[in-house]
Amino acid sequence: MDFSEKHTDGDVLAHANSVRYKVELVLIKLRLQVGLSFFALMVSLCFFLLLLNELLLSNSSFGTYESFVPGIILLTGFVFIQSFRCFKMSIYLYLSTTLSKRRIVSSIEDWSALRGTEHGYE
Amino acid sequence: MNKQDEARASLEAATQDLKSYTDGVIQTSERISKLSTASLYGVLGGVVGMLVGGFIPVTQFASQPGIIAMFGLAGITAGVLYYRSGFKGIKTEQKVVSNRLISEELMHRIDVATKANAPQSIILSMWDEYERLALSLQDTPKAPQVKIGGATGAALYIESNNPQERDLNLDK
Repeated sequence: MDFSEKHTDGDVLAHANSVRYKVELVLIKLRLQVGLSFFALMVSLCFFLLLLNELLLSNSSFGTYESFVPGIILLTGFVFIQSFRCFKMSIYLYLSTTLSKRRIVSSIEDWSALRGTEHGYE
Repeated sequence: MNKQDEARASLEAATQDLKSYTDGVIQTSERISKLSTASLYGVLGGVVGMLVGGFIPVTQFASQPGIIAMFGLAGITAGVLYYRSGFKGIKTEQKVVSNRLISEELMHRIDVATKANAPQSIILSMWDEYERLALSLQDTPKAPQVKIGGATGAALYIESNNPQERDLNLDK
């Protein structure tokens, strides 16, 4: 929609509602992304701490694979860092999209209320 | 400016801002999704590196766990780097091969058409196609989009590489 052109009130409201719907769809996707990244973060953190605990207490039951433990800790650390990055970015996007949704919802409400008053619907 | 005008302006601004914002969010979200694939490549590289490190004999400078961890780290780095650059190279190679095949086919058609005394316009259009094919190998920027807004807000995008064609579409 090009706002340099003149549009009727109905058009403006229809466009705003369409954008609000789009924002809600994006929010659903982001909620899912936040949930999944949080799950990955927790799992990798638990695994990382477990391995670190085994290594530090040195009563490990890894047997012949003991020499692989530092490498596995490194891999888990890598997964943890990636999950953390993913979670951080998802949270940022989710919060900013929520704020944007609030903005459009409040604009629609203000506009509807003022338009209602103008036409004597209140 | 009365209150209603202000509210309308605010609504229009919010709509316009959020339209481009949501597109950006979708793109960023896709990029975040790709992080998991990069991590998978890193983990695979790390596992391969660790296995390779397991076969390296112990030296007096480094212990076995140290060697395995170092090879694991190198594997992670190699995996991520391969994910970032490997596919691009493969895609470019595939593009070059397919481009070469199509250009050979086009040259053959031009040759046949010239021998058969085809009209000049047909031969010229074939040369145009050949030129477009050669240009498509380069990383040209995306063709400009012409947007026509409808009364209901439905937008129609006309996308074309040919400026004359775009003008024709606009005249319709």
